[in-house]
Amino acid sequence: MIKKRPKIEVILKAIEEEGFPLSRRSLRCEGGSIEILYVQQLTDRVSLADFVIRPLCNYLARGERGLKAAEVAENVLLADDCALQTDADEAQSLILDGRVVILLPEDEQYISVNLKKVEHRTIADPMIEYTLRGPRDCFVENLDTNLALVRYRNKDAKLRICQYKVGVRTKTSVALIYIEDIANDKVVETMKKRIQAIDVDGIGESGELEVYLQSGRRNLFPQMGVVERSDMAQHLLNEGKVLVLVDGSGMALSAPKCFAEFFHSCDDRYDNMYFGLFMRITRYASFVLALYASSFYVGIAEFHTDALPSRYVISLAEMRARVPFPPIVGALMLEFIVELLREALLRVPKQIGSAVGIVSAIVIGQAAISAGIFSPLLLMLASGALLASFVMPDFTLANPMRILKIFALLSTGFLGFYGLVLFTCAMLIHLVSIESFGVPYFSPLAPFNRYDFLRSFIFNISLSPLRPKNLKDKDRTRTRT
Amino acid sequence: MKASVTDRQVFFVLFLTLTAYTVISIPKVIAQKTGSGGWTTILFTSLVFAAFAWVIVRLNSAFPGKMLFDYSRRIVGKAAAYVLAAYFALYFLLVAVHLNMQLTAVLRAEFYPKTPQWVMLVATLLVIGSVAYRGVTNVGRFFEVIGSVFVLTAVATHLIMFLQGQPNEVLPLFRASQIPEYLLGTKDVVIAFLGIELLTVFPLSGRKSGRTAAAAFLTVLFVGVFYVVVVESCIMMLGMQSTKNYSYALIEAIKQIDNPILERFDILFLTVGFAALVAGICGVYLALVEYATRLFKKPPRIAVVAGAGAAIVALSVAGQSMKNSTDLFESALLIAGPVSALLIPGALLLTAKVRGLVQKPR
Amino acid sequence: MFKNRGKLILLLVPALLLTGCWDSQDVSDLNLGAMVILDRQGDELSFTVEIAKITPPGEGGGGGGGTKQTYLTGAGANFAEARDALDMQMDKPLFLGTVRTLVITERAAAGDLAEYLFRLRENQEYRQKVNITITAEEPEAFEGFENESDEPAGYVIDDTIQTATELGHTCAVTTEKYVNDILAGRGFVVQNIGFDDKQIKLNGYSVFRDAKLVGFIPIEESRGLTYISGRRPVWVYRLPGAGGFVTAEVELASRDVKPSYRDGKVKFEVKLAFRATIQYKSGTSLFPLNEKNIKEYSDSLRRVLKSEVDAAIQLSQRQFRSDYMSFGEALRIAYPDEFEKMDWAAEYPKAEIETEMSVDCAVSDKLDIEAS
Repeated sequence: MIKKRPKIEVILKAIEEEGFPLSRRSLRCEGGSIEILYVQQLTDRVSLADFVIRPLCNYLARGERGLKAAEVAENVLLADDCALQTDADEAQSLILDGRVVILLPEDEQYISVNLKKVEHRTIADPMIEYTLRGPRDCFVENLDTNLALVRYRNKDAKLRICQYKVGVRTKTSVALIYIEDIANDKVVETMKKRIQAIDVDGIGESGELEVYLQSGRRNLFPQMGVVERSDMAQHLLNEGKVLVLVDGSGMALSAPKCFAEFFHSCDDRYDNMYFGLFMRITRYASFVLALYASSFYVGIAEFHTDALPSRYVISLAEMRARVPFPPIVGALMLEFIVELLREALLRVPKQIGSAVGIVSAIVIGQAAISAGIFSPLLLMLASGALLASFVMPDFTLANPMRILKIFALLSTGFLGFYGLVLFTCAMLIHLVSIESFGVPYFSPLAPFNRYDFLRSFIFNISLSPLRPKNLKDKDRTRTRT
Repeated sequence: MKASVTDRQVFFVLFLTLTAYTVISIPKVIAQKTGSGGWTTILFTSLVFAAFAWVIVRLNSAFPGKMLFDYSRRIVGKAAAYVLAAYFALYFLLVAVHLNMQLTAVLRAEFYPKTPQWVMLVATLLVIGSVAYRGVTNVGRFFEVIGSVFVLTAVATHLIMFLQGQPNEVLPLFRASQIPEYLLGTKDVVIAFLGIELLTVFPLSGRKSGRTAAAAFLTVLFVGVFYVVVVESCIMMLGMQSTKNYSYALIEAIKQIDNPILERFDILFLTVGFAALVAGICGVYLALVEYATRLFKKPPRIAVVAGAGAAIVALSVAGQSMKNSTDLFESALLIAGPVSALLIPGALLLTAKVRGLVQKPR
Repeated sequence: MFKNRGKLILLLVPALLLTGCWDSQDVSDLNLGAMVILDRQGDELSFTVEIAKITPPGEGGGGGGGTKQTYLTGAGANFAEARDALDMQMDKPLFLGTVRTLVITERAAAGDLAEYLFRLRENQEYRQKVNITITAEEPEAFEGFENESDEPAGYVIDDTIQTATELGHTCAVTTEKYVNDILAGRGFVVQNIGFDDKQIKLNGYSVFRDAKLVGFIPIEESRGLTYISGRRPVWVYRLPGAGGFVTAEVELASRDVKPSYRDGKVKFEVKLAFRATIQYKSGTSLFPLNEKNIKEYSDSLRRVLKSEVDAAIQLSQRQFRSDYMSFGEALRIAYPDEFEKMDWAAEYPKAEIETEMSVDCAVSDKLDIEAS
């Protein structure tokens, strides 16, 4: 009777039954053969040959008997990341994860070696967090590269990286990063619990993960920040925030995130304090313009015409003399066209992108006015609002703004400026009610904290000696000079 | 999270609720009843109400994290607490109906002459309901934001009115022969300070209660000073005689402001001022909901909010069809208001002290 | 029920939105009024409205004429009927928010102006800063008004008054002040405008007592009035002196009206301080502007100013018997109880008003007139 080697046979049989394609290299040895299992597309085959196969062959050539996984892992293999495994069910996951599994004939344990090599994009310039000054290395789709960037910028011994597998089928690697002696424990624990509680088939991108991490899936406003740049990630970690990196996504998530932080950019930290203040004021004004410009036009043109000086009223009437649509209808139509333009320019191939842009400008701008479809003032306001919506450093705030703009328009079209007031009150109560991982979303405005307010709005946040109070960090002292 | 509000939020809650609607009509009342020396009446009345604001905060601080219904059960017993809750719920319902009717009347008179009042009522209540539904803590934050903008805008506006107005209209500032009128005028100004009873639904943390009580006291005094500024600047812009004629004198006075940008400066009041007005009514609605949820424990909060809103709409529509409904409401408030703001909290504090339930302030 | 609250809200909100926007009115669907002329012919009142011409961009110009505003007139036995008659002629609703000038003919002003001002006040559409003027011209005269920039006549009148106010030549008054004066039983003056060779001209002031027109003050005789009632009156004088004429710009520096009430007699001490800046001399003859000469000019100016102010006060007391310079206000502030008891309209003509002028004369800093 042939003596069965249950472990290796069990594993091989399970893999055969699963039927997924993998590569297999056998090395004959005393007692059977050493099976090296790996997925070709995920493995660095040169390293496999140099650090695994060659040393094993040399070892076997010496005529060694009674091969043990521990001895092989410690003394034979030249790879740095070797782990001893005992769980037979784990073998498939390890192979699919890109590790090389080495099965030995006379040992219950097997070895998994990390020789993962996946083709990915090189570190490039940021695409959404572009700044004039500051480093340009941003996250890519490879988790290890991203972790390397974080480690490179932050050499704190208290930096913690907790890795999870999310998704039953995709088993996407998710890394939770924080600095242990700064970050609020409650935030860290909440984040860990929420990650571990996710039970889905797969996660492809950080945006999908964000939906499960936020409290309440129907929130219009994002409760987590999107981080593309490694220097921004480093700032946020030093602030006491928690960072989440997802394998396969070039965007990291940060939490907690407050409403005021959507208006902060890396430029504010690197540039002169006064310029930073000026730009923040510009961003706030842009937010108001993007949200309310068309509504103001509708309010003035339809309800409160007498609010303008009389000469302007006559100019306004002249501009609208040939326009057949009421202001609210014209504004809604123009907003729709602006959204069409925005989506089209996002998806149009690069080669014809500029041509499409020029045609849109000419067709919509010039022809629409000549045909008397829109008033020139409305077109100017809509264009200004469109430009203003791109001023926000964090683009995730622009999306709810695009939706809210329509509600603002409808409210104004219904009840003039009073309708706009009601809309603003409704939006405001929603904003003050949200909490991002226990931190009030509208802080430091409400609840008001003078220190945080001054540091957020006026002074350079990097230079403030204390971290924001609303984060309830363990260590509030930032600078000692 | 325990519901509570900060001192700063207490300031804005009090400020916006007290000035909710009265700020529009107080210049007319003062011009008619007391003339240019009416500032004495306002400040005297504010002193009285400031004292009782202190009483209410002192009471709330003695029972941290609790509102009036909760601690009155300890002070006067369960049955009496329910009676008080029912009384306050009805009182706030009355106030909410009155304020909503006045708000829609102002909107109709000044800005939207053709829009039916019930439409404005329903639109307003939808928003106010969504605010009240969020609870005390979030409403406190809401007041903080709206209040900050309102105070800044109001200060700037009234400063401009002082610069552009005619100082002669408010002189002489004091006439000794008019002292009896100044004292009698107090009864007409009482309504302007009703709103301190809203503090009974805002639980306090109990920490630094002395400071919170002082904040409430100073807030009501500040409201008095604010009313004085509003009245005097209105009279300076409109003239004493015209001010007596306008029901909504503040809006008419703001229309007189000369500026290169807006022809009608009261558009600023329509936006910022009415946001503050809406916030003030939100406070009353919240109070109504808080007492109603204590009385009706089984239905979910959203049901209570919707029910309260429906009651306000129904009563407001009924009130609009009644003759002299405004006078009726104001007469009722003249009695019910001081009872709610002064008598009941004063009696509760006294009873609590006698029974030894009140701790020393921290 | 409340499980479907989302659906309930979804039903309710559009239902509200679709019920119609009652106060919504597109600005291009309005007739924008620029000026309203109120006239009275016997028992009939008439409104003439100047409607601004709206020229869409890219149109207009080319060929003479065709750019005048539209004038529509409606008449009736009272204001309401006159307005109704006017509305019957409108192809679009009339918008009064762009009206900048209200012109009232002297015929209409001779009646009771109070009713019209109260009507004005009640109408929310009117601008609060609308200018009220009186005119002796016929309403039809305004239709012939031409302006190079095709501006409506109402705007030109308003601009003319604004310019005169900025130059310090007139007193700016709002409609609300007129109403306040009427309610307080005070007299007031209203700018009087007319035409001078088809150009708008400020003629002077129409005087009102008890809200009725009682007289007219030409602009040439109104300097004293502006010194007492104006905000920042500035006038230019050509003064004779020993060496020749000098031209000086005179500005009121301060004004103090001190009332006193003793034994039932009212007395006012009016102290006016002026600042005069000598700008240039007449002719080429050289005469020194030394201290002595400047004092001479200063005395001469003081005499002129005093005579103007005294004449203005006498006019108001003797001829018009109307306190349109608001002396009563100073008395009311100083003696409120006594003022309440007296009939000021009857007392004013009897009041003793003493004036005292002081002039601070200096040469302009810009030029060194004496440099040879």
